[in-house]
Amino acid sequence: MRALALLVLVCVGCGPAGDVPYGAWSRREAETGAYALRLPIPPWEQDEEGSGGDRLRFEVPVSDARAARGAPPKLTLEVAPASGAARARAEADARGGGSRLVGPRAFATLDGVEGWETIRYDEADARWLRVAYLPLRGGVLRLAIEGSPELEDPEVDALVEAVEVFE
Amino acid sequence: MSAGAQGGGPAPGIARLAIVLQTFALLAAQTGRVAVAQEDGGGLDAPRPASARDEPREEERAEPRTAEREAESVLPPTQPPERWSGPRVFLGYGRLPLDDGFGQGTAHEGAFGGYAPTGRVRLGAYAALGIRRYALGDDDLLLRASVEVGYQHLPRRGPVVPFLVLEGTVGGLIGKRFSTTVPRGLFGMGPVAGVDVELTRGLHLGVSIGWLRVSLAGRSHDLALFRVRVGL
Repeated sequence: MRALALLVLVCVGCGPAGDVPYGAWSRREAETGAYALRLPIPPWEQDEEGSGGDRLRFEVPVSDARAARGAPPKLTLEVAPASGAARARAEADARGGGSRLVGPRAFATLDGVEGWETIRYDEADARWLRVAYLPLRGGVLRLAIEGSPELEDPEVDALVEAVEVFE
Repeated sequence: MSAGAQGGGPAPGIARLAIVLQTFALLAAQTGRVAVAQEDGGGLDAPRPASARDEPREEERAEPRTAEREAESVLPPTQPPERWSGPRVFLGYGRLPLDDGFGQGTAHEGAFGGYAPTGRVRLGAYAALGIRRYALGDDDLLLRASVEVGYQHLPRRGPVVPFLVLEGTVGGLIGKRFSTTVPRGLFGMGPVAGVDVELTRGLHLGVSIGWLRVSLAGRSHDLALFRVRVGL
């Protein structure tokens, strides 16, 4: 009994601090070390097959019953380097259209890095797409979030703003 | 952002908490009625007849007062034995700053519990239900159960019972993250100090503060606990 109490005390004292900024979210860094992002796991799950090298991919899965019926994940997040400039890429995305469009608009990460993004809604499949670009190695880091919930949302804002680019 | 996360005006979460407290109040009133009935020696449906209650028994009338009894009656009164004089059941309000990492996270909870009449050893338990603010979305639901074990200083005179206990708690938070319901486990422990004051016969008011080290979904939190109670 005393050992159990001691174990509980030790377990309570361990673990990363949860009462700091983004303390409840997990940090994931690309294998190349070029960038890192923060997100809550769960509900996000890393797609190991889609991740590797300078790419990271995550999903928020739907329920097993809906997945069995072929429903896509509730949300997907794909992060990878790309060519071009952030503003030009966002403007090109905006020209791609969508039944509803937000942007292109500028934003800044917590580290002060300035980027550009668009939010689009495709009525045909009732899915949102939010794409943000940050300057990286003479090109851009493309961060694409796609899903059925609306993506102009404080949680998604916090995810985008927490991206760290190192080169 | 939801109305609850904006923090302006009364949030729907507060209304939910009020309903929970009201439910606890009804439960406490019912339990207190039963406890009083048991102390009276019978239930509400088992009243003693007036004749048996008011009239002395036959042998008491017949037995003369002895010299020893007379002597006992003139001795100075001895100190009354220390006994549990605090509440048996209580309902309370608690506040815990369970930081969410985005500038919010304060939890407000209603609690219902009770204490065992174990003298100087304070042994109690309670269940709590509340809401926890989340800066980026709807409020979380907080459920937890706690046990308190420690020392209480029982007064020979006066209505005040100070105490110091170790509180252990276990429970969970249920909330939406990225439009998905996510349950998270919570457990922890820490010292809590406070005082119970008997306002009138059988009605107690208690206040306590404490520090709990809590693990929430594998992340550690330091909580300054504040609680007020009304007990019967």
